Amino acid sequence: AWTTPELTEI
Amino acid sequence: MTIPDDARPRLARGFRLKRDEVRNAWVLLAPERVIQPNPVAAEILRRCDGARTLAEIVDDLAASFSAPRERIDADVRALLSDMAGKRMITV
Repeated sequence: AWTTPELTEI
Repeated sequence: MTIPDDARPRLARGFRLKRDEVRNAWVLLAPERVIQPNPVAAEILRRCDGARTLAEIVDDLAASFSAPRERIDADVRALLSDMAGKRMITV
């Protein structure tokens, strides 16, 4: 499903 | 920043999208940093090859996902604008 794209600094 | 439809976004120098088999996810490798895109962000970044235009990327995603094209377009622009502002991609 399409969800809001997000980036997480790990 | 506003990204025009005919922009051809690509990852900035030093950034590399890599499949992490251990995490079973894509990771964005950058100098001194590791960034985890969520699955949708990874699908967007995989298409940012410097060859496809923003409009083509959105068209391709709209064909792959059932979400309205307007929603996909807005989300892609928001992500790429944010990344361009942080110099993570070039457009």
